[in-house]
Amino acid sequence: MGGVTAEEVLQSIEFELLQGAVSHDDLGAGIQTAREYQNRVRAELLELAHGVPGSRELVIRLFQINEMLLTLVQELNAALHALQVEMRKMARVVQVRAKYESTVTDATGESVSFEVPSFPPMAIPSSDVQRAMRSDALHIAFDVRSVAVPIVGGWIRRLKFALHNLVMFYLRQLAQKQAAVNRTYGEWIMYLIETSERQQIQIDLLRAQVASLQARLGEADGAHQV
Amino acid sequence: MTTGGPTFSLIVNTTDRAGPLQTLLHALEHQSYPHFEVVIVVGPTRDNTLEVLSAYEGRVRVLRCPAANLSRSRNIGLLGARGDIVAYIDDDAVPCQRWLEQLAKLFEDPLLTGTGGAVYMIYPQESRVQHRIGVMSSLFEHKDVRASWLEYLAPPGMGCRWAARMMGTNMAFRRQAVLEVGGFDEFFVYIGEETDLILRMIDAGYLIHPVMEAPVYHIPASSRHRRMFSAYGKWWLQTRSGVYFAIKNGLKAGDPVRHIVLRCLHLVHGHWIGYGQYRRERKITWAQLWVMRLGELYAVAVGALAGLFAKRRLLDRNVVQSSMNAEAPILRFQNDHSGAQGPVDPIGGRLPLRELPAPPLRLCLLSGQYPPEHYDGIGRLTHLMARGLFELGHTVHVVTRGDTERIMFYDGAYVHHIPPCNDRYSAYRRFPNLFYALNYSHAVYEKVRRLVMNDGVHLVDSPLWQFEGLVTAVSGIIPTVVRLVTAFPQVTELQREHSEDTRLVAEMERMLIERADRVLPNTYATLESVRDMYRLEIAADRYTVVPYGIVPAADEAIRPFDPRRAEGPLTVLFVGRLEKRKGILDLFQAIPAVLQAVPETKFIMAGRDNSEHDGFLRQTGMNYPAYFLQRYGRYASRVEFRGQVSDEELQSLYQSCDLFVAPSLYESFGLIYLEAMNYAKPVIGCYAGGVPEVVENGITGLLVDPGAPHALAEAMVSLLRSPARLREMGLAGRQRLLDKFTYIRMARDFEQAYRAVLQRSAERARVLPQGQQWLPAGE
Repeated sequence: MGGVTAEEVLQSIEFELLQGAVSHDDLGAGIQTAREYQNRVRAELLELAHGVPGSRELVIRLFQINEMLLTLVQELNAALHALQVEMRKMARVVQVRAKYESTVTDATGESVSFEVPSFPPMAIPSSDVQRAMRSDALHIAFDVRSVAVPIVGGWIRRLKFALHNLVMFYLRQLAQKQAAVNRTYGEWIMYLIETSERQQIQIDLLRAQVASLQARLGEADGAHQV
Repeated sequence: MTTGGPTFSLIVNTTDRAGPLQTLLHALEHQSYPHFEVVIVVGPTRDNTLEVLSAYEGRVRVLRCPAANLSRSRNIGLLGARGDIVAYIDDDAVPCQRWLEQLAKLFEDPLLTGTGGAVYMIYPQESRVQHRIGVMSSLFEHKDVRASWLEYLAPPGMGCRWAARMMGTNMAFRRQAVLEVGGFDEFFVYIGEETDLILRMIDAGYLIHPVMEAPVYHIPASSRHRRMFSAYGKWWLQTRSGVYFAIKNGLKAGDPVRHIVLRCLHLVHGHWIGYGQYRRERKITWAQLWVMRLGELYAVAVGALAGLFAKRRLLDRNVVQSSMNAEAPILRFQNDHSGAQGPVDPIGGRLPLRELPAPPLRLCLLSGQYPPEHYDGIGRLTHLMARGLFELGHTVHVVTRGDTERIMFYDGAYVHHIPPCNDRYSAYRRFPNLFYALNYSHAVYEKVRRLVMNDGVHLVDSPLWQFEGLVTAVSGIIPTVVRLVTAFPQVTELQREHSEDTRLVAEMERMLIERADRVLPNTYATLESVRDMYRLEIAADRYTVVPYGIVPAADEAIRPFDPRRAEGPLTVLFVGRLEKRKGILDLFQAIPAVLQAVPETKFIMAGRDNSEHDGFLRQTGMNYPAYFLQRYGRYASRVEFRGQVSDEELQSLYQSCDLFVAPSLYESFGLIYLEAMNYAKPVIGCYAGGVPEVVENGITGLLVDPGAPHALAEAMVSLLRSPARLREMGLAGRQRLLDKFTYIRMARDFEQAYRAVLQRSAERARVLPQGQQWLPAGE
């Protein structure tokens, strides 16, 4: 029961504050649900791991992996949201341009050039995500070394072996649950990557449309001057 | 303050509500977004509305609507508006301080055409979330409050088409778009017109997206269509609108005819049953019952005929075109004096008592418990602070615990209730005190974040007890100060409760003190005890001692001891929980000696028994009254245990006693002494905690060492035998209270401390890179 320090509680507060940074949209609500699940699992695991040597450390480290994945999801969510807003703005530009393409000139009579914002492609290492989703990603090998104590050394080794077997029993359960959590995160991330790729294609199309419109406007201006 | 951005026309439709309208106009002075005009459309009013508006000549545009028809009134406002966005708010509502700023941010999205935020009903007797991202069907079925967009995605109901909607008192649209669809359908005299407009706008391809933020506080007032807090109302107008709505929109959406008919019958049936219920409760007469029922039948007939055969009553195309072509600047509502004005009580229209020499602050006070539901300790103090700060001209928000999410306005402050939410920090579930306090602290942070976003709150003031403001302080979103009150370990020490859980709670309290921008102890003794307990260094520039204060009783209410009065029993009053910390055992021990020396004395004990929690019951098997009875049974007739008493009874006890005694072993301050001094009563306390800073020994009362029952008895006897001293000390105590311990004085001291913190924050922000330090918006 003992051992909890104020610094640990403070870290928990900071972590919860980080979680709260997700915006309250549909995806954010979905992530929030995943978090609630994770919190429950963590509580169960900490309960399960209580008294098993070394397991508490392990649980903490495993959930650190979760937190990293979670941060990635948050970042992707924020990037996606920004992208959507930009998409809407650009769609509006194209819409307006198409409507007024023959009349858009500035005060000097020159045709106005629409700069279509360019988006750097989202550099997401999808292979890393897929690797993290594999069920053997959490494989942990335990090494029970021989004990160089005469007479009772063998007994100590057997005892250690039995103890480590017990630890492994709990850890297998832990790893299964952790793998399920990782798969959920992975699926979310893959979904976001796919969405991002689709949007990139849409952006390219829109960019081509704008370029074509600009070319037509240029031709029209040329014809007018002739 | 925001510069640039779209211009708003705020349209207020009003009839016979001069009082609430004046309150709204006063509240609009504080809007953080300045680019707006106010268009008031006055219906066939019979009160002094025009007189109220004359005070705003040159600042608001007044239009007239000849009929009591809300849709027509909204259309008149729309045609007269000049802003890019038209925002509608009811005359009986006040918006949050950043209402328009939030809406302006939303309209940065070029595709968004209509939006609106939440609506909170804030009557103390009926406070609730009235509307938040609601949905409505093509058959006039609705779900007004949803927790998230995911809730109610497939609403149960007959309508085949559901759409998100805003409430009429908090909605905003691009003006051009509303004009393009012909404005509001004027068949809707009342209710339904906003959703009908939204459905038509969605059909025209516009994006409508209500949000959970940008709230409006609603105080529904009586009108000619309904009377608040009574059964009276022209409820058949709802049926008329509902039937028309269901037919027009149901047919268009493709709802089967039998569903439309069934829905219309539901509307009538619901009201029909409701009227019967009103009659059974004798809220209406038989005549009224039948007038209302016949009204229903009439409403169904009119609604159905209009829905089936009449054209929509929309704005004429030519009128719309000329309004769309009109180019004119808005008439700005705010002027140079707007920012300096104090807040207004949104319910009663009450204004602060004093004018501020500096710009008003927007403050958030935390208090786990708060009146009127709970009236003890920190809640009581916070209430007095809130009241004083309001009267000094500041806007006060109080965040407290509650069963459900709701906001009410109570005695100068917006009181935000947070329901229990324990879905975080599950790793600490085995430490109950820590777990619940951490979750509550996080919920407080979430609320504060919203208050910063919507109401532009400048600073958070948290009590130390159970570290309510810790997560807010750690987040760094806003300056946080901590009020030093009795610390958790002080109580656990006295009650001998030592565990890992209590240790961690104490650690968190310590962390709150370290993280706070300033520490506000109520006495120097409190500061010292916290320093000792937590082994903390609190530098002189990190704290300000702010003594507490109370509301002074009226002069005619005070009852100083009259030495010439006829013989009668002398009453000694004790107020406080019956527990060890309050010195109750010392008092029990002193009582026999007092009664032997001054037999005509009577003791009254007011306060609930706390023997179960302080371990006394466990040790002795008895509660305190039972212990007294067993141990000092022969004096029982002279000692009266009243238990917990109401506030009125408590004031009456203070008023009628002759001497007040509270031999607490520790008090961080001791409001009880002030409450007795308020009625000119001499007091006896101990040299413990902050008591010597409140009670002047030998002048306003007597002080003895804590845990010294003989000295306590001697002090009581000496005063009870000296009528002149009883009077002199009582009057001196009253004067001391008026000089040093009034709630206004306390509020002023808190205000100075807050300003110092904000000043320091602003200075820090100037030296730090942008974005690393919080700055009050608009300052």
